[in-house]
Amino acid sequence: MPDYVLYEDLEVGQELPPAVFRITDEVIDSYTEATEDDSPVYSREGSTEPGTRRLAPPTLAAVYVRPALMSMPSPPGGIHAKQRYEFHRPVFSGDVLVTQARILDKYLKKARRYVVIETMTTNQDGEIVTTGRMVRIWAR
Amino acid sequence: MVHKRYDSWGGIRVDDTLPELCRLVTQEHINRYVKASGDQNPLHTDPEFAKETIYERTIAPGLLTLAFVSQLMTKWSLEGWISGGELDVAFVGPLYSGESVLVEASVASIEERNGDVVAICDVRCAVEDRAILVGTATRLLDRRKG
Repeated sequence: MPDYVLYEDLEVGQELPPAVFRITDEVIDSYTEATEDDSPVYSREGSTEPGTRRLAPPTLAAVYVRPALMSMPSPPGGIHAKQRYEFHRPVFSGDVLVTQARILDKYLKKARRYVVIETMTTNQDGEIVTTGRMVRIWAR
Repeated sequence: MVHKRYDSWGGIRVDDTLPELCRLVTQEHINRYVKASGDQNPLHTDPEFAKETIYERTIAPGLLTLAFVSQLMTKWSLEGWISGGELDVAFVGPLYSGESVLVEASVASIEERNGDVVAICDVRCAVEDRAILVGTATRLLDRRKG
């Protein structure tokens, strides 16, 4: 049995199991180093004021949304075609986020298999922090 | 629905160009990003796998390029970006390891939306004349509600 989900087995409207992701300083460090983000506001030193928490870059969504997609891993070789994000609220180190993903659509175009997935991420207070919509080209 | 539009808002004008950003993306950068993000697609890290695809070489994850767009927006406006910002982009071409990508943005319109005032920027990432990413990045300028 392959460890990925084929295009023909994806069901439009299907909701994937929600996934929890804890934002830590190490997660933010790893992301800012990998993306060479030198913005002081996202550094450990950027939140030294008493009562402030360390801010995460908005596109850390690429990291904290991913576990919500792990229940339907795509076959190797697929690519990301489009991405939409709405950043409703900032994300901080220490936040515990829950992301719910849903298959919004799938279609064939020029012999390519497109899959549209929408995501919604909430924080520990139940507030929506990020909504997203991605279009991926499924390899098989 | 017609949105009220403005030529300028708080010193920001339509057609303003944001400071550009250039990033060299090596295979080492890609490997580091893949590790940080949990992306397991061998198209980004395995030259033998990539050789058998239409790309023939490893390519950077689209979301790595998108991170550069966010960096440019952060430098322009932190407050209006982390809370009320939006990205809407298409990954239109591959970014190969070893290439330098230029990230550019300019203010396309300033308008009211759901009572808020936002600046919608056209964004483009390219390697010389070859486009990698195109779309919009929207920054909140003035929150009128809540």
